Amino acid sequence: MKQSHYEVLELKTDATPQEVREAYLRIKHAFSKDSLATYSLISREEGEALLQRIEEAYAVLSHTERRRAYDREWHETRALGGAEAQGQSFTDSVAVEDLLIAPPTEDPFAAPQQVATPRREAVGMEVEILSSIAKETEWRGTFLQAVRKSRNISIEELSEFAKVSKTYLRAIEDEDFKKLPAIVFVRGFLVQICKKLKLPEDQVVPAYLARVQKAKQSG
Amino acid sequence: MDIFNVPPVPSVPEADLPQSGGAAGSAQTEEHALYAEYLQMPRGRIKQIWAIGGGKGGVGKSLIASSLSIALGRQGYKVVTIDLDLGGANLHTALGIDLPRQTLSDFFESRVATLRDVVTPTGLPNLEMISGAQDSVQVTNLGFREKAKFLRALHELDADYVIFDLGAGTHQNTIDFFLYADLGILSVLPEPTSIENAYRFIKSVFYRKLWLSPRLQRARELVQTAMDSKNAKGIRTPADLYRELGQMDAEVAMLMKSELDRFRMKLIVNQTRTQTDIDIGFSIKSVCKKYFGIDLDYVGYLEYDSAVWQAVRRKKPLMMEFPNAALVSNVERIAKYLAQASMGDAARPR
Repeated sequence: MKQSHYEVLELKTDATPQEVREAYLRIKHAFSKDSLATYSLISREEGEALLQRIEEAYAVLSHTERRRAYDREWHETRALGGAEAQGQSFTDSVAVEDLLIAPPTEDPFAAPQQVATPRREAVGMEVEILSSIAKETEWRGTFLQAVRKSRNISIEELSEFAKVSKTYLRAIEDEDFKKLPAIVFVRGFLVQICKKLKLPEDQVVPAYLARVQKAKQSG
Repeated sequence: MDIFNVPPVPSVPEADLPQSGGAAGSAQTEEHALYAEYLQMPRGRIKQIWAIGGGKGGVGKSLIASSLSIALGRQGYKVVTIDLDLGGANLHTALGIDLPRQTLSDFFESRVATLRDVVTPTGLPNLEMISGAQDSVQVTNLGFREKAKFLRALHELDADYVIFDLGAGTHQNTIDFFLYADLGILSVLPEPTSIENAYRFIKSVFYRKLWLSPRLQRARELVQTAMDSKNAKGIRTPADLYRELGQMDAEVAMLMKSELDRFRMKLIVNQTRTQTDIDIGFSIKSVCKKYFGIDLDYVGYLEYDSAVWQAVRRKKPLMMEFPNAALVSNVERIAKYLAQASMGDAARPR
């Protein structure tokens, strides 16, 4: 019996786009390869098949048009008394940006009456970011920018926190090395950026500075 | 349709029942009869029976059982908490009292007349306890007759809530005590070993529940087959079983689904240190839903707290020794939530 996309993501059919995304991140996290929660219970193959179903469901439900078409088809099959709707197999991968936007909500666990309700799934999100961060080795300006945006931090906010002008921050994100001051200063900027973006400065700083140095030498 | 009023399924001739070797055959029918009888038994004063299990040792079952009991007592309910970690009983220590003179052993061996005679006061408001058996009776050698005697005597207890503190492991008796409770609470640590054992525990409970269910009589043989993880039918997961059942008998498959919907298990993640630890509860919930088709209710987490071992060393209940610990408010919140939830459930048949 094939589960509907809604069932796969444990959603009601009237779920908002925000809820769809939160559920996707939460469930994807639960079934991810390194998840403690599937330990000893679900084999690698089962896990991969499930992950694929999750991606498939999200590809449809996160897309307004596709979701509408899917809902329509589902209702039609229902009306005809047929079997359950067959989910279309949209295999489009999900853009990184989709994974990285954390919903700003407070922690429901703080309030007693909400003890049993699922909290915001920001932690699933965190893991998504962490997993892409874990794989990162280059630490290019574009990546730093993507992380900053994913965490909903404006360049102004970062500038205020790091006490670094927006011009320099933009130059760092654009990797416009000519606009940057001496390396010793850039190092300080990067350390501040890492603090704000919660990135491992021991990795980011050397990787980034290596490129600055190379550019300065050749330029 | 009211799933609780499904007409009884025709009984299967004795010869068709699964015979898993020799004497086990008759024991199975005994077990089924007891289960069916238990479902009809008068409840006396008891609103609900809660069982705390978790498969692995050291995951905080006694801590949770004792703390929930104390919290319920404080909320004004009369509570009897029973140490069913037979052979390894130490709930009395978690409650800060000496080993009671009378234990379940005396009840099982008929040295006392009723279960009420082994109830010991704890000195805490509204809270009494029954100590686990010592020496002579272990959970592994507790016979069917003792188990039946115990279950039949439960309704005599003068309590709103009865709490079972279960032992480690997945011995059939432990699984049964978990199943016979109205509410099964599972305690898990955010560690692979604990999670592995918790799943083993859930799996055992899951199959045992299906196997015992009077409404799933026709599926018993298939459930029995599925319990053997290397079965020839290729049933590896509960989902496989469900599919197989559906092909065999659509009505039974539907009944299985309704059994699972009524099967309410609560999850507590203990010793959380980070947000990631707390979130493991949500992940386990998702995994159980997908894998077993069971809705696990994640009722809360208990923060890691060094006050616990200090309290244990002092042989005092944490709730009394460190009333201001974060953990204590975690427990009180969970107790309150579960008590409220059980009020809503009270009207529902089990």
